[in-house]
Amino acid sequence: MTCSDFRRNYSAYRDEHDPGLAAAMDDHLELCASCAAFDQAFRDGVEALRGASVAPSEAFGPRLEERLATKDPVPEPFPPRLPPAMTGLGAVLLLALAGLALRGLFVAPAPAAAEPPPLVIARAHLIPGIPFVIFDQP
Amino acid sequence: MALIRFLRDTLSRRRELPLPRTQSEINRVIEAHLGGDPHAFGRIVARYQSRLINFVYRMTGDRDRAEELVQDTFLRVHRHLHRFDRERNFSTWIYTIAANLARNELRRRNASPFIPTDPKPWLPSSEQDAPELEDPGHRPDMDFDREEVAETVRQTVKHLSPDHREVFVLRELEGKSYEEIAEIVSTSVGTVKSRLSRARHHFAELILRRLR
Repeated sequence: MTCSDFRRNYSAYRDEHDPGLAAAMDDHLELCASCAAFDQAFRDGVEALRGASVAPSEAFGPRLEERLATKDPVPEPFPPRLPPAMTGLGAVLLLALAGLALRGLFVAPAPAAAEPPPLVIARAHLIPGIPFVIFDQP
Repeated sequence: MALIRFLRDTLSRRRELPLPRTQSEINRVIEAHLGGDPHAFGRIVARYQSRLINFVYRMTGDRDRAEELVQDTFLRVHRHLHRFDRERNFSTWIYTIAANLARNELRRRNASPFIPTDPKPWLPSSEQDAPELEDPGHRPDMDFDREEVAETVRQTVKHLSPDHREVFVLRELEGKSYEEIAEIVSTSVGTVKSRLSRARHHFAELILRRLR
């Protein structure tokens, strides 16, 4: 195992879900002073944080009793954050709408369909006498 | 007035009653509260107050504000407990409320940079609350070291981004599972794993740099 492997697998190692990985990581720690220092720093830091916990102040209980008794209004939270997928979808829709609006502004409207030319039908003239019919030129 | 009396009685009787630990015990306490037991809600408060104050304190870095936010959490729980689905994990539910309030606080603080953070040093509770007695084995130099380390670690946690700090605290200090964290922070288990891995690396590297 290299130091890079060790760092990449460190989070999984901390979770202690894989005994095989834990054994390989432990072996590496015995050989590598740099990774051993990294691991020790992490453990010491977490230990110090755990030891630095605070207790509720004396005023906490009485103040809570008072607020519960007076039905102190709770400030309303900000609207809940949307999941990233929904946020992304919202952004895409917004962009699409903006694109449509811009297109409407900048693209010239299509010309109105031209009116169809009037239909010209040749008129028939009946010439008396000879049974013959001629047509006007349109 | 009856409410004040029940909380006062409850707090004084706290030592007599075992605090609810398992989900079924908590469900029984909730049923008792909804059924009108005046001592039940105090047991929920006693069970969660310290854990939530520490969680919110580590998120916000402001102890007084953390207490107010945890009070807001309990007020919300009190108001909405009748709507709580008892098939769900109560601990995850109450942490979700507290985490949302802590996140709102951080957002509000980002929006208003003039809101001050806690000026008091972050000392272990035993040192803050303990009476000043002469101890023959007491070594002030050791105290200084411990305080220095505590302060260093506190500053280190502050350097993590809020998203990373949240999953780091929930996993390393509150012992929550990936699934619980995902529910609390409203994201996927994969995102929790990736954030936690980065947070752990960043934390270790910062600690190494500061303690050298």
